[in-house]
Amino acid sequence: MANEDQPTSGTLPFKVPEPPPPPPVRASSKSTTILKAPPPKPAPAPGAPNLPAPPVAGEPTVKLTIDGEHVEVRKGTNVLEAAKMLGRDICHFCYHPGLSIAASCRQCLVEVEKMPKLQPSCQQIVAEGMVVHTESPAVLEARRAMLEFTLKNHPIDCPICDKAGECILQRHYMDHDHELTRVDVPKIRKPKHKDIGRDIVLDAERCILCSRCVRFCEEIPGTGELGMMNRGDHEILDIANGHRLDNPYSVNVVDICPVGALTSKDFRFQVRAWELKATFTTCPGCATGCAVELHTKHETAYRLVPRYDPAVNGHWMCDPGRLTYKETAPEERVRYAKVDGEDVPLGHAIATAARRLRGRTRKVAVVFSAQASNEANAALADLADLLEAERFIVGKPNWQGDDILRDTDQNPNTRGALTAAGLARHEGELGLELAGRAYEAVVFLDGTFELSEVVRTSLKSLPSICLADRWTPLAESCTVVLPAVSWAETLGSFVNRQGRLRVLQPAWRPEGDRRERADLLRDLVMALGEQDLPTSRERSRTLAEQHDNDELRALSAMPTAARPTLLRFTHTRG
Amino acid sequence: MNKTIAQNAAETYDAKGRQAGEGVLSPTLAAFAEEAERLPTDELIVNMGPSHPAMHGTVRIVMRIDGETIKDGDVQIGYLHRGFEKESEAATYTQIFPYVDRLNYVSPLLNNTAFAMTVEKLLGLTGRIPERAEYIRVIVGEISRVCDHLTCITASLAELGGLTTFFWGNRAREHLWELLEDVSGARLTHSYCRIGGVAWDLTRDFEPKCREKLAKVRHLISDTRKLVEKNRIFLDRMEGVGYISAEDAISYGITGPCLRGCGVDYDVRKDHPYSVYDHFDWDVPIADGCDNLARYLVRIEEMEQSMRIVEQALVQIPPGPVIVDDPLIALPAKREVYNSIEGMIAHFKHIMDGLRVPPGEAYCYTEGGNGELGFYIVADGSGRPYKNRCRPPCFYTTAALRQMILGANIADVVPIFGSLNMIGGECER
Repeated sequence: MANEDQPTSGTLPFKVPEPPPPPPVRASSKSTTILKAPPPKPAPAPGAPNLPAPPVAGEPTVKLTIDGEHVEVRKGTNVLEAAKMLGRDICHFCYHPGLSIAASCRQCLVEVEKMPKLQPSCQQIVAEGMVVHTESPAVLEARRAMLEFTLKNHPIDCPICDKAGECILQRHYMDHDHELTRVDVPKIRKPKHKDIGRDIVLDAERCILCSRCVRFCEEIPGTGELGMMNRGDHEILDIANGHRLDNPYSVNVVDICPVGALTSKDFRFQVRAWELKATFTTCPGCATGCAVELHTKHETAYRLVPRYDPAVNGHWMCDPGRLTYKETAPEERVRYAKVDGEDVPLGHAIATAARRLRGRTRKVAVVFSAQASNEANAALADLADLLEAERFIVGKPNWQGDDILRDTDQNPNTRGALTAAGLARHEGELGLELAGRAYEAVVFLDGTFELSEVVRTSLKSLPSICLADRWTPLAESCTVVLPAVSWAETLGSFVNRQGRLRVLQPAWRPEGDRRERADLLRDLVMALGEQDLPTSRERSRTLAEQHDNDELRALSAMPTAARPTLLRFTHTRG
Repeated sequence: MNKTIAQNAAETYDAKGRQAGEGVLSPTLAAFAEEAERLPTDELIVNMGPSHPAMHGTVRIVMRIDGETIKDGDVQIGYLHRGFEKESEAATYTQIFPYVDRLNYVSPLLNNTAFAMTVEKLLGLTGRIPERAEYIRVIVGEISRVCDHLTCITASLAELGGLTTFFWGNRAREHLWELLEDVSGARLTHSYCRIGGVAWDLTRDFEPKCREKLAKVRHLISDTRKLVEKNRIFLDRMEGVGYISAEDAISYGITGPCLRGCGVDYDVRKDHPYSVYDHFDWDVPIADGCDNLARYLVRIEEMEQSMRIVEQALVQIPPGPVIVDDPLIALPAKREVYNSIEGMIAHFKHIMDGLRVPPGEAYCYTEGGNGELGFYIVADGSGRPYKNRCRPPCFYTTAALRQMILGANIADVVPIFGSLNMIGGECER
């Protein structure tokens, strides 16, 4: 993985200045320690099971036997995690590796020799010489009986439930129970579709009372809006009077809910889970660069969910970050090149752009983007070298961060863009100088940048080239618009606030003439009659070598490795 | 003196049904034929198909002809390739049934049975299917076989100009399809079998209806035979045409009616009995002409034997369930699905994930309409096959077509090809 000690290579196509110091991170909560912890080794490969760490040499360890297999684990590990190290998944609902232990679901009961009763394996800490049976008849019967009990009051909602297809209850029923019902009394009714927060709807009937969401709200954002009310079979999950589940991490409870009790308003009834394809990529919402899965169907994104990355985001991500997929909405996409408001073939637009850049007498401004990938910024740096252009760097304005995951910098690649641009001036000067007509031409790497009305009007009268993936006011005011891929279609990388390389994978093949920004710029340089530049993929390979990133190396070597997988075959959910 | 019709016929036709005095050309014609022999001819390349009404589906034969004689023929298939085998890898085992329907689309139920039996072999269910389900599979399968042969025979006859028999054959087939529609709900692509049994039981009035329809079909078949079997045109174009020896047939891998038409007594149902075929009294018809006529005769007699099996099965069929009682294999009853969460989840997971077949590989072969129909499946433990390979019987007969048309007249291609009953959907998959 990349870090500040990485030696800069002389063979790179761009200059690498000293990276800026990472933004200050206050050390207060549990998650912050995750962010600050130096990574002992690269993050696990996408989709790899979230395995507990094996013991490090010198640590106190415990030896035990699980189903006849011997295993040595760290002292203090619980039996469920020890079994996981042997590749045995003990079925469970309430255990979550990122939360405290409740042992409330009783689904993970195992037999421990010399103990009179079955023990919840998530709560049972390993002891030296312990002998555990996870598949004995008593355990299987307990599992089946617990499931029957859990299903007793579960509503028959699968056809209308958003969780169906990625539901842990469904999976466990098919794996461990598959008996038909023996209950002939009416089910207990509880509140359905209750609006409990900005993004969340609660269906108390579907809830299996595992309390994962309660523990999440108490432990991660520390807000504690949720609680268990009443008792017995009338126990329900609810919000306290006068409170709403409005914390900025609230949608995580939807991900950790094993059933469809908590659903996201944004995703509710949009698409069925089994039709989605998952792409392992990076959230472009802020400088943290959380590892995410992008869920798509037919070239449209439907949601972002967090992916486990211990070095960056742990198990979680923030709510505003989840909405970044909306930037890839199909109706906003730039599909074909435009020159002076007319749709033209891509080659024609690139030739026009080159002609307008070539006949200049005064200086050109190139505008790097903290929203674009390293590859795109590096390609623009090559163009800037060629045109001897003035360099600016732009991005989205800062917003309110927090000390959990959200960074104040809304741009995913500020560090990467600064590295690529070298000495660059910031956006305020750009507006003034463009308005004052200091430049004869300007090249924008990205169209998301906000410019004033005056500046945008002045853009219309000079050769202004924008590599845009969606129609924004800036893209609409430029005279040449080249169709570029969005972060959802690109194979590229960001550098996050920790200096880590974050990999972006394409979720679908770009439609129309949309192409990688680095490839568009390469064509532009070639149309200017100048030297051959590396392609976007070659730049990715260079970056992968430079940062020693296996994921990007594999992806840039074999593009088919980036093919999205149907969600139900990724085994990451439900 | 007026002759009776019989006397007239006796003078006009000989014992073989040929016209008296055949083979003796008039002097003018003889002179013309002699001159034609001496005329120099050029070899010519002629395309037959792929868009040709007699090229079942879309097969193309590139022929090198000399006059009327075929010197060489290149049989090209693939115009109807749909990627069935590859497509299966993306479908659950249950979802593959509609695909196998479309292999030999004239006898889909035989394909259904063969596929289901292969998956059952992987699941270790062979021999554990409820007996009623086995009987139902035999009944609907044999009815499908009759449909298959009716289609082959009467379509061939239509290509020889006998359109009446085509209508009669279609009428007979329609009777049987009505019967299968009653059972399965679909007229042509039934998808009626399931892993572990069949989708649902026979209709209550199936037995009387079936007997009634079989009587009608027998009558129509007998009418057809009367019309063609002494017909001069028919015999000329069938007898001795499309010859293939038994050795060659075996070396090509030909099975089914085309092999039995070469005098080889091989029928998977008899030689490697599966399902409940050993419960019935029936015969394997063979003919040793090795030609079109032999294949025609075998098919005609097989229809009778199939109907015999159906009639015996209707008597023997025991009551009971029609699918195995295993929640991991059979779908739960609709009553459970709509009224309990357990049934709902089971149904949901069955449909979405597919039933889980343990890792392994299996080949299972049955007697399809055209011969040995087999499936070879590699399972990886998930709900869908890792590899699904179909052994289509008519792929092998089509391979022998070149040899059979060499030296024949152009016009003979049509009856030879017709007698092989190549089904594009099955051959090209």
